[in-house]
Amino acid sequence: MDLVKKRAPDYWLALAVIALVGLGLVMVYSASAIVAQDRFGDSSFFFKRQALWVLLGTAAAMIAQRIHYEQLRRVTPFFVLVTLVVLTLVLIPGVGRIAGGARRWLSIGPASFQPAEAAKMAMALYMARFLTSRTADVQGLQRGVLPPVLLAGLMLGLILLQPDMGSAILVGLVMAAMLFVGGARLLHLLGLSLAGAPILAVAVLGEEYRRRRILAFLDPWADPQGMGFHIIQSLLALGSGGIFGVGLGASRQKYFYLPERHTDFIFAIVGEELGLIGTASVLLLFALFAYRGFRIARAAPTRYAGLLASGITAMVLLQAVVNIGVTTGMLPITGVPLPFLSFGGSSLVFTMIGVGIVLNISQYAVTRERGNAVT
Amino acid sequence: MRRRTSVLLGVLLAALVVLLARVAQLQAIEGRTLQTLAHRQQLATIPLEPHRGRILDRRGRPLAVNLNAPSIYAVPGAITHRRAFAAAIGPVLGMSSGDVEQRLTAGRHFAWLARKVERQTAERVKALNLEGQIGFLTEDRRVYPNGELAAHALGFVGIDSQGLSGVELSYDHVLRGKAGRAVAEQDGVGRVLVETQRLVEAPVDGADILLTIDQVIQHIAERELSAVLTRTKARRGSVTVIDPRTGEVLALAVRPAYDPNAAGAVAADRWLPRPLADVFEPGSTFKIFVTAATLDAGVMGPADRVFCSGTLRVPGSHVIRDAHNQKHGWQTMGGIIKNSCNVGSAQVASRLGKARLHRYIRRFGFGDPTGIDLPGEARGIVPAPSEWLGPALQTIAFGQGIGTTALQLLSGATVLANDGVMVRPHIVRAVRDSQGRLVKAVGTEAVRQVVQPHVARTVLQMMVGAVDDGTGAQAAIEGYTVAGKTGTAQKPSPYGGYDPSRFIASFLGIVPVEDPRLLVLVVLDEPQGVYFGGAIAAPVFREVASQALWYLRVPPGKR
Repeated sequence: MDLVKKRAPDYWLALAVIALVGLGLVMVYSASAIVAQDRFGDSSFFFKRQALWVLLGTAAAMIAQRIHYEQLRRVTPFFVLVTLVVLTLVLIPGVGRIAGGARRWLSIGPASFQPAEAAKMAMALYMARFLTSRTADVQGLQRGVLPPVLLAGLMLGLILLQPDMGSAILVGLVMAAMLFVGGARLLHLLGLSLAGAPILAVAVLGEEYRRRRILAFLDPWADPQGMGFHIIQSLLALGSGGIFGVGLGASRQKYFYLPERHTDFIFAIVGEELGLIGTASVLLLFALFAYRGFRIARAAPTRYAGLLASGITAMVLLQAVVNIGVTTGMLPITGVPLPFLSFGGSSLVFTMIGVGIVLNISQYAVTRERGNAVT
Repeated sequence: MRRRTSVLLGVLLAALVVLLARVAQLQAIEGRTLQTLAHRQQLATIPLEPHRGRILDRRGRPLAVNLNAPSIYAVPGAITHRRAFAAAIGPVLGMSSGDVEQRLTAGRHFAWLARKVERQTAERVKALNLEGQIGFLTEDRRVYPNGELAAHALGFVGIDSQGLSGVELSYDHVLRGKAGRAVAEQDGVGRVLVETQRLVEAPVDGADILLTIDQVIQHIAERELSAVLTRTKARRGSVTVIDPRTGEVLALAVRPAYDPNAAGAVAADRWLPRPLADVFEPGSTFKIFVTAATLDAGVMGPADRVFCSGTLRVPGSHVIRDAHNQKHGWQTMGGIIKNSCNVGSAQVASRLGKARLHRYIRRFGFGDPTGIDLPGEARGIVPAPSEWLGPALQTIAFGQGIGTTALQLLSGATVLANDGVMVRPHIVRAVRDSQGRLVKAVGTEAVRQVVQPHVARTVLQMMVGAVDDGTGAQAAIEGYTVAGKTGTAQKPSPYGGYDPSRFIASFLGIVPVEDPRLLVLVVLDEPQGVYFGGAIAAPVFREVASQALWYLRVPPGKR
């Protein structure tokens, strides 16, 4: 089968994304209006910017959806290289912009972007390419597991220097997920996680504020005004929403109680204003996204396309799980945005590019007759 | 690969299911609890302060009122640069930057900067444009429009308008009212969203209090007291005027005084309501009670006489002398009062005996607080008869060896004006609620019948003699019958015994005798130069009483 008939992109996946992005735009406005009015005298300050990012992200997705995925394989080394360069650049004082105690932003003219967001995408692209290269032997150690681990190590190191624990963990998780899908030996993956655990432990416990975050996660009420503050305010917001929510726009926690209300903790505002109905809907939409994304991966015409679709879908879902896990107090605080919903251009645009790539792959799905698998 | 893709999907979907279970737990099961906790931080309780009741004189003239005064608070959570904030606002409030910063540590949402300041100060602070970082509240500030007038009766309040002394303290529960409560939503930095405020409980304003004090008589007493202190250079003094029929305190003048609008500006001992707080040896004014006791016990009749040779040997090989080395010769009971004869008094007391004298002293109320509705009253010192050593019985007869307050002397003297019945002194006449309705009217409280009516009348007549042609001659008021008794007591020396150069001069007077309206006690502590009660305290009585009689339109009617 040399030529696969091109079909329409996967509407269900697109629908899930449109719903999530639409809800995100509304919630960013609702969550940020009070702070924006207070800080900038313009209640739609963040909304206008997010709307612009949504437009840009949609355009990026539509472009990516029109580029054949095979083209990506060629630009991957270049993209990885650029990513490593910007990850290095952002660390240089004067080039990288500091916000919230970490050097995470690169300013380009009026816009600024987070290289760590590019790193997740670069890792997915690299892994898809590596695992389908002729030299690779995914079952082996030296030619299978080691090269991606080395690249990941480099990226992780650079990201941790910012420091951005959340992004570093996600880059590692994306790599692990794709090694798993690509067929790496479970023994290797187990060894990898055993090797990663002490590194993670040192990284976490070596830094005073991270150690206290962990402690706060274990018992937020021990220090409700200090390290436990974020988690408690988030839980109060979710709890206040109950089943049906206090109503769109009626959040009380957004009045300077809940920090990061329109970025990392937007899910809590969704929960407060729209209740369990709202939070369950978001989880359902992500489930739909996961189901369609992996379905596309399974039906992909080539191993490369399948790996790429899996990697991107896993990347989005892992972020969502970590973010919601943090917001609900099940995971210690790591600064990971909620894909499609959180305010922030870098995250949204790169995620939308990923969506475009998956939609492109979906157009080349191979139909299989029942019980007649085609390899 | 397809299988592993499915496994990954399964793992991620499982994670989503776990999260769904978690949000269901948080929102459906623990929702109510968490919402309560959230409301606790989101709702600010705003106490609604009631207006403090006013204090009025017996005719409704204001003595303590409330004025609006702006108070300034900070929202520490909204202040990013505390040092700069302190540097900006400190000079305007007359505070050091350090003090301001110190105050900012009081809380996250609210910290007082300055309470009840002048309007101009508030205007200057407003001009600093610290919107959001500071706020203004209008509070009631207690104001005493007459300054020092009646300060020791009124007392004063603290910064939260809580009574700290005087009637402000003893009637604080009446004046204070009941705070109300409103709740309002507040944001995370403590700013209250005013439009969300709702009343939970309305405040109940405090009730007004009408004192028995008459502003005019009070003024007369204070003016005459100030004048005599200037004349005699006495350290301090008091003039207390009560209505002997009712026990109502008409004036409570103490000098030196203080301004209750700025009580903190003077030493705390100025706040003492000396007529009820100071215990002193009364001296000869006490003879009237010994005389009444002797007559009531039937030990001697009014016409029975004792002989005064100027000196008297008493137990403990002491010798009692009369002032000016006078020898009074044969003295009736009336003569003893008229001439203030110590030697005669001592002999009378010897006949009465320790036990009976002690019993009468206690029945006249000495050794117990009078029970006036003011804080800070002393009980005086009345030793038990078993402790009356040496010449104590004889010296107590003329007021040495016993400690009383001025108010106890007045309270005891009501017995003489009321046919033997003692009435309790009081300073509050009525309580009116904020709508002006009478809540409580205080009537006369008779304590007990102390002596027989005819005894009281007899002693009163003896006191008339003291003013008509005795030691109290300078207390006489044209057209009225005055009963009185002088007192000149040596003060105890810190080295034991009595100080020959320090005295308490006093005069106790009742007018008019036919229908007593005024009972006045003048006490002058350590006058310089002439120190006899008859010479310096009696004229003060005359001035105060004559002006008060005229003011009260008591018709002259000397027999």
